[in-house]
Amino acid sequence: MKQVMKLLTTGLVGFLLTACNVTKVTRMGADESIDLSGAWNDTDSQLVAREMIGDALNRPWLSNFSARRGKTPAVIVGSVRNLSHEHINVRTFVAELERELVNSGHVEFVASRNDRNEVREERMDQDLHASEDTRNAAGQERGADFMLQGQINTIIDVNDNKQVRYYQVDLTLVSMADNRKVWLGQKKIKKFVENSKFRY
Amino acid sequence: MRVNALASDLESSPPEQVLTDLENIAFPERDRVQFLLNFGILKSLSGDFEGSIKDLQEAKSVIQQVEATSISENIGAVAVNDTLKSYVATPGEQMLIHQILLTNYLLKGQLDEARVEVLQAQVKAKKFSGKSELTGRLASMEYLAGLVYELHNEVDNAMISYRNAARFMKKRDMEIPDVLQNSLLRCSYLLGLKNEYKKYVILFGRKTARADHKKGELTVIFWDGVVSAKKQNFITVYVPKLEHNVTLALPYYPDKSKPIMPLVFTTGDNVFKTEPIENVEKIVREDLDAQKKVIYSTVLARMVAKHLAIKVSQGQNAEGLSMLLNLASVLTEAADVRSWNMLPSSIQVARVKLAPGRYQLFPNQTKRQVAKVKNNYWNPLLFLSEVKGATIDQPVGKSMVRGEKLDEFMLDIKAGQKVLLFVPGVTNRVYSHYM
Repeated sequence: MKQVMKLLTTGLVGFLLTACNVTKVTRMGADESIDLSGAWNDTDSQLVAREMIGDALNRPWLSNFSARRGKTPAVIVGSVRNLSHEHINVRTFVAELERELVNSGHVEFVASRNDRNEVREERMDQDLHASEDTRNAAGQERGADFMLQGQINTIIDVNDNKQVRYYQVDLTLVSMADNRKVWLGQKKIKKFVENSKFRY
Repeated sequence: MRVNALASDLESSPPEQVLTDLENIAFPERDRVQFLLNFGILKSLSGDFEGSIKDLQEAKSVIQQVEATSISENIGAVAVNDTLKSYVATPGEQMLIHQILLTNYLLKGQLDEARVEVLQAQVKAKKFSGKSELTGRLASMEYLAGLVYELHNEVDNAMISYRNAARFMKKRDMEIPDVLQNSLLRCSYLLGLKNEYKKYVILFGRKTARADHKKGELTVIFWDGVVSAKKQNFITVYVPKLEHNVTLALPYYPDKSKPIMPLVFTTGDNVFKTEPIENVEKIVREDLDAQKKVIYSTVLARMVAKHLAIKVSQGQNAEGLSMLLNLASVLTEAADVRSWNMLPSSIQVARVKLAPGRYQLFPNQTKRQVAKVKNNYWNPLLFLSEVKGATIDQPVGKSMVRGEKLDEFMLDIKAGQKVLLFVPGVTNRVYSHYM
């Protein structure tokens, strides 16, 4: 009996030690939600962008602008500041916002400051090297009617191994013509994170 | 032990050399945090701020995992020695991770990211607050937090941080330096906190300087020396009553901590010097004192476990086994002397207003300076100390910021401009960022 127990114990310890060193990879859908640390993740980024842009497009500023000007508004994404407790990759969040806006079909979207410079360089290059019928002239850019700005804030309450993480994303749409704020959007996320006190 | 030896090399070898040597040491997974922390700080000293950020961020995430008490490691610690536990940075070290990251981000011009580190440090401080008032609370972290808040025009938050910095310095019997006094005066004045401002005017004996937008502002962060390494007290005695050896190994820091030496710089007419905002020597000793209860109880449990094992073997008349266990109990006993041993010995700051112009701040620095003057606390180190070793050319990678030799560094400051200088004393280099 003692021998059997020894063998079983050795086997179990061996298994545990081996199991610790195995790297396992499972492919999953980009829209599947998995929370590992409780920090801001891709799901939060997608969810907030989708919901906030959905809200923005259902507000009266859009129909008011279209009725007054007779065209769809052009929007540019300005800065979205990360004032939270985490190093959030704001660029992916901004990319989500841009995607949701463009795909809605209700607004036109103009390239950001950095992207514009690259396009302008290419246009200057076209002036020199492209044939006349394929050349795009300078001075024909569509100016933005509105700028989307925002910030991500957090409040974190911590006690021992427990944390409550509260995220608040505020977005503002500002009219380029007169600095009026035509839409204020807010999305809140609250998470309770509990870390284990023990490990093997 | 080898890491401790390398840390002492830092005062005489360039950080790139020490980093290469450290990278060549194979380390067990349980020492991962200690190595990441040392990689991170060495990369900061070498101007590889991007690499430093990567290592220190990884260290933070590993610390989060290993903070949970490991059952198997604790069994190992009771049976063999404390070095079988995963290295978890002490509260003071964990705060310094945020501080070094904050400095790295500032030097890269990533102000928002620096602010993230400030907020994370506050969460961490809240977590430590249950232990004792000063556990993990660093005046230097609070001071730099205040600086970051001021750069974000958040004077109210900066005021809170400066108040905390003053409180922690007072609790640790440190004099509140002029640089912090000025910040308290300035922020309380700007916020219209009349009573508090009056209190500071009486306490510090001066009013706040008028805001002069025609001048630029220079902030110097100076890391002096290398912090002391832990050592071990090893005692082994034969106890006749127990009929075997009893061995004890306990970590300690040498009583005498290193003297604090300021960095002196000049603008021609005026001579300035950095002031200590943190005595890291004191922090590491506080952290070790706080750990002593756990260390002593583990040592006691280990003594009992080893005694019982030897007694059982003696009872079975297995003399060979008994001798072997006796020998093993002596040989396996070792104190845990791991620490973030490449930290600076002290963190110092200076913040001065300068008229627009070009300045050679460190004209007399031609070679690496190593402090030899031990007794004179305020001896201007960089003018008077003896010289050891030569300057070393710094290899510069893609993401690296080139550090300039102190004597070759020229500051060009404009009206209203803010400039940050980072001077790691062991490197004889200065890293600058114009904001």
